[in-house]
Amino acid sequence: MTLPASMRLLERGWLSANNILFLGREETALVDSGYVSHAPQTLALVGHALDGRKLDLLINTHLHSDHCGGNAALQAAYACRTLIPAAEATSVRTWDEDALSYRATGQQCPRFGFDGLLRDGDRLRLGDLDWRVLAAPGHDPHALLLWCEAQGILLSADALWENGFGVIFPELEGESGFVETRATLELIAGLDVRLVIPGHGPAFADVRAALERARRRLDFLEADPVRNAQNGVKVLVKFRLLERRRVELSELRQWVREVPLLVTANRRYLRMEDDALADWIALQLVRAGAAAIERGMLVDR
Amino acid sequence: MTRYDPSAPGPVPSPCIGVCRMEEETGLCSGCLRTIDEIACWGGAPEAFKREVWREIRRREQSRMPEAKRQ
Repeated sequence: MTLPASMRLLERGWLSANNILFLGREETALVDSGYVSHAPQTLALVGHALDGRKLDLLINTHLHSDHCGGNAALQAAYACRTLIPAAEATSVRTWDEDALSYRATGQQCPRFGFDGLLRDGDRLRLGDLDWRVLAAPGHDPHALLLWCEAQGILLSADALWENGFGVIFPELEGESGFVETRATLELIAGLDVRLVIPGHGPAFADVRAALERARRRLDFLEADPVRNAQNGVKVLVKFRLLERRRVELSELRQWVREVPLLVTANRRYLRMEDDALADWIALQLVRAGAAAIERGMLVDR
Repeated sequence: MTRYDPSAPGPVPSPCIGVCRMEEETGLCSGCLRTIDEIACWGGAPEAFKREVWREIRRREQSRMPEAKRQ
């Protein structure tokens, strides 16, 4: 299925989430802005796709660093209006890095402002199409979906990918996340979706198959929360590895002692000695083909 | 770059390896060797376009190698 003429999917990698650009007759808009270290690339892609127009509106599905890291740069370049999930207003207004996820995950995100808030049930006009905002807790308690019923297009952010979904972070900190993740999957299942544009990876049309895989994945994680913690720590380290490209194994051993979510997940679920956890994560990433060890360094693959 | 063969059947993977930096001199991303237009078009493009971009990437890889190493 091809995208409507007013939509462009800027498919990124894993360090930066995908950006969805809307070229309406009167207004342009961008959903999600990638990671801070890719901000020049994001600006280049958006500028190229805008083809002489300016960016009027910026929207974030949720405020993880890979979805809003380009906000500051885009705001500086375009003075675009910015809409964020309503529940995050105070955290962003005061730039509370503890309430936001950046300190906990050891990730970077430059401060940005906002002009409006998005809530479950809100309606937006993007690319001359009507969109509905839907609450999608699970991966993040305040995450949102954007749903265009007329086109059957769902912007799913990290609630649903072709193979899986984003780490269920609340559970790492002892808060409910499995129930919400399942409810969000069932919400998606109840929509007449013809095309999903996820936060990472390609757009896909076989939603039913993706939902089935996601349900099985959730069953697996929920059956033993240790599994979710194992997944979470691997993903957090892989993310840092994507950013840094290579890291001394000794530095990895420091990360497990210092990155708050790694410490929390270990204390609460994994209960390993710090060095043993660091070594285990490195081994798991190597086994998965996500990293290699070269001369005492963990190298991104 | 991964050893992906663009003539292999099935979905075409993204060439992105996370470097994501455009080279001013060449107009290519120094990681995936795509032009800004190829990257921007990728998300909505049919498989045939993606395969052709991969073939172009391979040609660019070849021409960036020192003379002695070219196949």
